[in-house]
Amino acid sequence: MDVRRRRLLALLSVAALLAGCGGGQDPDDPGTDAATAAPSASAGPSDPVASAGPGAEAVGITVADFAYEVPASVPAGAEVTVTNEDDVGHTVTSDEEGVFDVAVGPGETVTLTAPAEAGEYGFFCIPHPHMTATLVVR
Amino acid sequence: MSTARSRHRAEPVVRVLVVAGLAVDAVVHLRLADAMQLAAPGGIGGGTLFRVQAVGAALVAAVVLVTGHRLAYLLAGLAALSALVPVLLYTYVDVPALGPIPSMHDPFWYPEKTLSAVAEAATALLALLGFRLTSPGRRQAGVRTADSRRA
Repeated sequence: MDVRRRRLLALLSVAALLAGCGGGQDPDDPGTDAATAAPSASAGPSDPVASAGPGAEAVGITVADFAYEVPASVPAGAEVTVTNEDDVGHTVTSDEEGVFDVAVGPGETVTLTAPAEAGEYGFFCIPHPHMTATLVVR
Repeated sequence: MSTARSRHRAEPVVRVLVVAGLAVDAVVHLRLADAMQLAAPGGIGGGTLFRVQAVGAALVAAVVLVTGHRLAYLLAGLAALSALVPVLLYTYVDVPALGPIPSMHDPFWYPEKTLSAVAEAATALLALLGFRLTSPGRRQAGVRTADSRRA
């Protein structure tokens, strides 16, 4: 009886270990690493910022209460995280078509690539056109 | 006598206005569906709900236009209210997701949204008027008036 119980316990332990190792380790999962994610891919809300490379400055845009909180400026070509703290989805869409455009769902964080050229880039939210701000690229 | 005649003449005008209001409702919902899907991607999706509303309003508008039936006016009123009540609710109250219905809070008013809400309110009132104009009692009174004129 004791032997059977020990074997059962051992089997359960192995199963639990395998289950623990399996979660979140899929190398094909684009949502597990904000720094390598495509511009419109989702990253976990716990990832605070993304970086443009080793030693790069971390920058992020936050959306809260239907307003953008934008850093004073971002480096050209930087990966910029966009964190949505609202219960509805938003977009960060450049006024000039095609410069950048990402959708960020409720509670999600995504990344976008800042333009390669310095300048001021106005942007807005497609479903909420009253939401506007400017991204300053240095 | 003249009241019955004016009611008889008013119904087609009311019918056209109800159809126009529902058409505005349908077009605006269809135009905003893609944006609403971005704003409310959860559950069945805000875009899906807007498309369902657009198709429903268009179908009811067709029924009202073709039949002018009392039941059609009732459906028109319900279709208008099914859009007006949510737009007011989600503008002024941050309603959380309810089952498959995603959160669709949007505190802003912009031209298309305002146009749609005004059209829906007008349609609801006009549908009520059309419902009253086509009540069986009023129709019979109209027939009696016509018969008495012939006699």
